[in-house]
Amino acid sequence: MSHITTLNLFITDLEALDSACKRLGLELVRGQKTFKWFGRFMGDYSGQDAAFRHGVKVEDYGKCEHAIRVKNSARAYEIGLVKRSDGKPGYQLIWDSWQGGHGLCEKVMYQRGGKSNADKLKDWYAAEVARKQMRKQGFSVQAKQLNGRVQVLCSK
Amino acid sequence: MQQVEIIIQGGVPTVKVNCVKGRSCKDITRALEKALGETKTSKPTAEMYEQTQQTTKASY
Repeated sequence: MSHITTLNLFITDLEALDSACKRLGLELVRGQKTFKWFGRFMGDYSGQDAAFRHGVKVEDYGKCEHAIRVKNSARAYEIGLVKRSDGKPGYQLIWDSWQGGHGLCEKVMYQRGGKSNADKLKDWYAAEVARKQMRKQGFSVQAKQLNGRVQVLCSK
Repeated sequence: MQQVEIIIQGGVPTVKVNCVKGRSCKDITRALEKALGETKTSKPTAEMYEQTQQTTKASY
């Protein structure tokens, strides 16, 4: 019901995250201070990735600095970007994956119901960071989805 | 031609640099590692000191 977990991904480049979101049919909404979830912590999840084990207070569940939502879905849960609990620059991502987040999980995971912990979103975020960096170095860059991974090819 | 292939799986990038001689190979990956986060392993191969290839993994 209220499986708020961390995504084991630290975000330092919102522009790259925005590009990754667009590719996956998601939308990064900067400045959105709340994210959609079950809405009430039921005390029913305390796994190792539970957000409260990673510095997020239960009373702050649902609060964020920015949010990611599924485009054209009023029902899907959202992902919240919260400041890193270790004080370092950047954000950590938290979400409620209960019942696949009502359409959210299938956008960010390779396999529905798998333990991928939003691998698809992580891969594309890293790909967009890499794309940006390599372009700065004068490379032409092509990125494509392979089976369960992303390939970024750069040449100059 | 300089070529760089980055494979990202499980959020972990693996970087292969081809056709870049000597230290310029490291220069390319250094900027990439900085952008992608902490380096998990960074193992210069013998080839780096001769001709071409280096493999780096980074996580963030």
